[in-house]
Amino acid sequence: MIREAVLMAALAWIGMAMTLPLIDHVELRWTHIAAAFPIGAAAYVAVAAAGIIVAGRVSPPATVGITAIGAVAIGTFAWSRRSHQRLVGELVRRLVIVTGIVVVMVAAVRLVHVARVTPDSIRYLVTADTLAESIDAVSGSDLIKRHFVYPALQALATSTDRLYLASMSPLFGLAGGLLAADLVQREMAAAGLPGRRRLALIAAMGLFVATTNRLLYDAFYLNSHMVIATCVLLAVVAIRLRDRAPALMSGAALAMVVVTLARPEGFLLAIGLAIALLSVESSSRRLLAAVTAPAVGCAVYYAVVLAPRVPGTLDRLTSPVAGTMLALVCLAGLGAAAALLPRVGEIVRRHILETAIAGVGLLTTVFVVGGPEILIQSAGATAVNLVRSGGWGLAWPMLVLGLVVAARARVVPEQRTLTAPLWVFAAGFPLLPYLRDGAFRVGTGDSGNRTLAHVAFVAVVYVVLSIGYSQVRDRAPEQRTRPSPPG
Amino acid sequence: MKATAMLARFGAPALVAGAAVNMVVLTVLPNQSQPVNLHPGGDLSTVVSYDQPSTSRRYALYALLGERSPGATLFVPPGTEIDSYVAQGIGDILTVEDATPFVVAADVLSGTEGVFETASGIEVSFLLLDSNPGDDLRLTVDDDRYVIGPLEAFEESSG
Repeated sequence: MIREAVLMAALAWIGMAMTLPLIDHVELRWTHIAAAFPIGAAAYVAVAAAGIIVAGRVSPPATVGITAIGAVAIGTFAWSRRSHQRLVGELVRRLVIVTGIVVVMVAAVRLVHVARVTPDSIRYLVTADTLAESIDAVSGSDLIKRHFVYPALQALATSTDRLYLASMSPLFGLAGGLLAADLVQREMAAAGLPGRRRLALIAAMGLFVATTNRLLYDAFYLNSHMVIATCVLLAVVAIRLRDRAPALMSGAALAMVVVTLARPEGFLLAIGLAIALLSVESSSRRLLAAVTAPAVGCAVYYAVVLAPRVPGTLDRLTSPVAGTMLALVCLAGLGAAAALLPRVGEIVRRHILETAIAGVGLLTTVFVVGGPEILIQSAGATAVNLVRSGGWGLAWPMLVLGLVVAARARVVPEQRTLTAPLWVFAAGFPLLPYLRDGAFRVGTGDSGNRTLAHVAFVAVVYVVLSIGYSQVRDRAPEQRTRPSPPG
Repeated sequence: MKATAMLARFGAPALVAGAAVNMVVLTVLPNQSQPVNLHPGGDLSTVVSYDQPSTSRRYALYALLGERSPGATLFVPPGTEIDSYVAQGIGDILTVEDATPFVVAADVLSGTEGVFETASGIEVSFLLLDSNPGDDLRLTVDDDRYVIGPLEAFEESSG
């Protein structure tokens, strides 16, 4: 247990060190704490991906060591520019809290056996074991279907007494919940919603999430879904806080890498997150760091690791590897153009979301024309899963209704930071069964049903923020927030 | 009613109502899954894992104790010897089907993947899990289908 706790805590400490400038803001204490573990884990994944490209294997101890050295260097540089005495107490407090959370979680999942294991999990774990030896021993289908992120994270188990880390998904789930609650609390406080109403709103959100079976399930499931859902939310939080907490942008960049390398359809979410930033940001440095750099890095991973090992990769542009590489290269170019050419950046900010949705829709149409029966079957199965068989209960019917009303109300400032990932994912969702060469099916285990979890956190947060801002408007019309651009 | 007024008045109560309905219609934590415990403790996981450190046996642990859809099947090729205590545990949670004749039809993608056809005509694609030297059993998985068999069964028939 000690080794697992130390490893998980080390990831959280790495995340705290990488975002050390947040120490300046007492009010961002829980943002710092909540983001620590996912940022540290994402940094580990990025270094592990570099290790695969260079050495052809994941060495968990070396990867953690290299990631820690980098994080310490970043943290030391940030610390050297601050007044130490005033901040030591706050830093110690945050380290104690984050370490306590990790240790309690690791101990809890060892005492109470709640890990969820399916055949899919087994293949992830097999891949994790094999990655620690050599990427060449991993089958081509596992490389493309299971991808890299979750096996790389579970490869850490080779340094512990367990065959897998049951605490991985719960820690991501808890981080996601804390990030959501913290974001709502902070924005509603700034908007002037009274404390009791804020508390009630956060409690209602927590209750809604906790009783949504699939989200709770994913928090204990040996699979990548909770990792992705939390990283999508992390990126959104970082983008919304970019002016107040620029250090969090490293989290957005790393989250882009994680969602892209976590599943074959991850590039869709990466596009959505990139558009969320491109829609609101004009800083060249941030666009290059959080859009272009992750896209280039992931494209290199695809070219060096996947292309030579996945059969049929480059036969056609619509194959999962070639298509994703093309999308990533276009994204990197778009980010660079928006960053370096102010006029292009302005045009991108105004039109990128609609253009991206139209582009994804057009691509989907090309596939649908070639085989409409897959779309028909998938649409039917997804409809049944959403309302009856997918394990979502009332969650998605209510969220869809809430999203429609929230989009119409448009009360959330800079709402494209929240809606871009949702709309791009929705536009690309019909494309997914074509990419996997098979229609979605009815049942909780269907991959189409499971991928809905990836945007669930952001959907809930968008609806809850819309409720909160609407309450502020309803109670005090004179305190209206500034209108947001359409999106 | 305007969208903002609708959200302000009914948004939070709707979330609570949705949560209440979810608690009624869903299990809070899904069942069908048994705990995976790698420490000696007397449960089935211990039986499978104890003193059996080979890779395929370790992954047999995951398969046997993992979550399955109704109707999940374990195919047993001829010549497979499974410890009776473990077999009893398997029988409680999986439908066991004799896979005679066991013929691996073709290799797919690499030497670790293949397809075999059971006597009842079911085609099962599988992932062949690695095993340690001296290991006498191999485990394969394919969605809700599992195959446990002797090494020879896979080696002799694979092509």
